[in-house]
Amino acid sequence: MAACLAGDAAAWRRLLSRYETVIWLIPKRFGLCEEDAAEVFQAVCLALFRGLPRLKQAAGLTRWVLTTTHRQSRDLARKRRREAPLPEEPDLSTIPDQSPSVADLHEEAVTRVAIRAAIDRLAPRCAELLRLLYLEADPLSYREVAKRFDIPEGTVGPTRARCLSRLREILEKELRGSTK
Amino acid sequence: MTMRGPHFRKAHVTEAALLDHVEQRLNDDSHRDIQRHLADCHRCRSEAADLLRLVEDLRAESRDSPPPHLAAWARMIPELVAPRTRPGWLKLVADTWADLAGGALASIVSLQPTPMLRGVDIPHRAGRRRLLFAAGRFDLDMEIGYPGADDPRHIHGQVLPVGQTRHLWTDCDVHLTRGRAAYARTRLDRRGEFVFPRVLAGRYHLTLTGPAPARTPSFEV
Repeated sequence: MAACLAGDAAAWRRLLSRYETVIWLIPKRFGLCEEDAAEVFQAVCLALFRGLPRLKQAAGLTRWVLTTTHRQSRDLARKRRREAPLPEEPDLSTIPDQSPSVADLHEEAVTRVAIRAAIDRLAPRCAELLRLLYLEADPLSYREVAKRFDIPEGTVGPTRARCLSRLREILEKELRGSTK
Repeated sequence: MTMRGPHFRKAHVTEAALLDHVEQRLNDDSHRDIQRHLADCHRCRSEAADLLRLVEDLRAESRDSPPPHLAAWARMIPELVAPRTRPGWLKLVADTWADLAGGALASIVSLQPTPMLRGVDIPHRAGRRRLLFAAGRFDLDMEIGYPGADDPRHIHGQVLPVGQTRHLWTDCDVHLTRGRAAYARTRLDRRGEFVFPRVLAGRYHLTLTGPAPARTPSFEV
């Protein structure tokens, strides 16, 4: 946070990488289309950047991102519902509100942020290996990873097991910290 | 309870074997051995459930990530919101022109604009315009942002491999040319992306150097 406030572009990118999935995920949970989700994403990212001087404390940041994204998504989803043509003689009392609450999303958001933070704390080689195996839209095979890292294919599985084990340890600490 | 073999240690399945099990990377015999053990061992069953959750959480990260162009845009916010002073344009232009004149761009392939959008569907919205160019081995996906009527625009682009090609040629310069004059130059990053953060209105074309040199038709910014 302090580095972001000091104008460090790399710190902003790191901060953003922790929250971008949550900021994208929540409008999708509201059933918003890609275009609307992009609108929410942009609004929240800008609000986050502009709000940094007021936020200052990293501790409350996940909560702030969650509630801000939730509010933006909820408002846009309501607007879209108002704009949608209604069926004939609707009985609105029978239509349940399917919007997720902040409480519904809280655990998932905390986990997502903690995973990103934990990956940041891994050794760079471990982080890269896990990224290639799990985080890519089109994950690489063991053979491709072995080629990329210039290691025998048979060592990829045990290495990724060690990296995941380390990730679990860090993640548990992150999650314990976020519930304090 | 089955407890012998390379996947077991001290009466329990090793973490590495459990991981292979939840990711379904074991052969049928090993898979069955572990399955039988899990039926009787609460500790290993709970461990397997934790590992499965971790792997699923990681995979969900890729599934739920924002589209690359949006993530790239967000990374640029500090520059867009608080633009810095202009870089040394004269030197930049001189360097670029020297490269162009030096024949670095020999054997150029023209990129053809295509009406079909590949990958993430990005709608045209107020303040943004998207262009996609195709050149056989790769596509060039480009977005032009218009922050305000009189503000400089920004151009963000990504070179996307086509078909089975996985490797991006990241060792590649991107030249922005206005009319016949070199305007700015940047370099593809490790994701194959590039950004020109401050571009004045006008007609431009882009040229990529590197292993697959290519040039776009001109486009309006």
